[in-house]
Amino acid sequence: MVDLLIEFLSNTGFALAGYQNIIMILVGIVLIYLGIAKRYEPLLLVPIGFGILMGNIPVIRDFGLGIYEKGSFLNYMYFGVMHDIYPPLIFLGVGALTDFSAMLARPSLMLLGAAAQVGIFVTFLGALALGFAPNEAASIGIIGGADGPTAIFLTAVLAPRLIGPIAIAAYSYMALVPVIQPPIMRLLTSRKERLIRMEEPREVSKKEKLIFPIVGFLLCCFIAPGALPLLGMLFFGNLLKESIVAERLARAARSSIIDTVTILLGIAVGASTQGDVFLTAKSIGIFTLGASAFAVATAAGVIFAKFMNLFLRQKINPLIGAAGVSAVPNSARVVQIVGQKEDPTNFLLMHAMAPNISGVIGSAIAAAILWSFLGG
Amino acid sequence: MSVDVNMIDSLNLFEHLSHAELEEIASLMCRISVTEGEVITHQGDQTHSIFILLSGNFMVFFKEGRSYTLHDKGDIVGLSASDLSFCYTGTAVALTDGVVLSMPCQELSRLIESNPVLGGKIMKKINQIISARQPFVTGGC
Repeated sequence: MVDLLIEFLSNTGFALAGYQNIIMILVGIVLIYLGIAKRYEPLLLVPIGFGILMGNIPVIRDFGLGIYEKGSFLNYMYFGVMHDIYPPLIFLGVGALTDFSAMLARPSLMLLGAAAQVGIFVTFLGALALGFAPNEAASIGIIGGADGPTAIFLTAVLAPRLIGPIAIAAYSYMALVPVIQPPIMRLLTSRKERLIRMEEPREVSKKEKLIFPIVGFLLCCFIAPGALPLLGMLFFGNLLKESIVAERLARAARSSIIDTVTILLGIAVGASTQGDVFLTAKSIGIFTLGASAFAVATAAGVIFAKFMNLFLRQKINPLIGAAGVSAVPNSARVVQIVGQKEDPTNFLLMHAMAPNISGVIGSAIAAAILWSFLGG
Repeated sequence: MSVDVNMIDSLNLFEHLSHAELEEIASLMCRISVTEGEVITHQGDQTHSIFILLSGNFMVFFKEGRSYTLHDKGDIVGLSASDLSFCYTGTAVALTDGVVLSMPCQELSRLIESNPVLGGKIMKKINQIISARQPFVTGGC
């Protein structure tokens, strides 16, 4: 009887817990607190935070409970992360939600969405220089794309052990767009540039909006076939939205499907974030490089807009280049706020939405390029 | 409680919008009854929604004792939520019983993403109100 009691006690979490479990559980509680009490990104932080709690309960090995143990419940949840199922499903919802007309009204602004991806590649090189393995460096660089699902998509195939810290860094910095971007935007532009007014965008026809998802999909995936899962679902979702005849499917994609997948993704990513991976110097490097990726991406977009102005008769406000980092629509709203501080009557939101949306496509293509170089 | 088009079609914020646009906006909001003394936004709290007044009297006060009162149908409370501020810069209290419409920040973001033309129209109006109120607001929170 005593032996049974001793065995029972030795199998409880209290006996099995190490300091790493305790620290990670505290991290999970902090994320849940930030999500609920402070309402910071609650739809992400609450599932991720609770996932961290689930993943860090100390369990007996080979009992079929741990996230890395084949056949466990958490392992099935994690399957969708490791096999890149969840990110494309989120892109389906994003496509069914997004209106691409701002981008179609002035396609030249797509270049800003492409320019901002420089942040990914610069950070990739920086991470290599700091001693990260190429696959890890690419996964860190993709944080600069300011797109959580894309970061998870690439990290799952290139550096799966880093999914936890990279996902948390990517989503944290997306939430911090209003803090990170404005100083860089002001530093790189003169007051005169920030005051530039832009022409009202033209109206985009229904036919253009309907043709775009098909042409856009074919073009992008012929350029970067690795982007097929992400962009295929993104453009398919958008086709559902714009076709109107499939509105019920579009509604499901942008509400119940995206919400369900967000829960599964959040729990799985959280549960995969365990002490031996998260509480390391590497994580500090990931968070530092992730922030610089964001900053470089913002700067690249602004500088490229200034470069475009050298050739344009009708100048563009270079602030809108900052929206090329994606993080839709918050970085476009940051552009509006920074511009409005100089001139309250200047309305840049609609213009900034063009590079903002093209940034989503751009970061998916950048991920595909990195994958094609390093994933083989 | 849900909101129908008739509740919002006479509000300044939504003037010149089509019936379809009003329907889209109405679907993003909910109607809340407030009682005298109830705090709607609290200075320093994380922003989550903007509030449009339908009835009642409200006072908004800021750091250093600045304040103003709002009485008109269509006035807005919680503007910090519309410009990506992390927290409310003012505390809004109901001086009488009243009714407000609340629109969560996340829904506003979704509107801008899914219908930038309509989102742009709303944001333009909100920005005009923010500019007019700027002298009353002290800044950080």
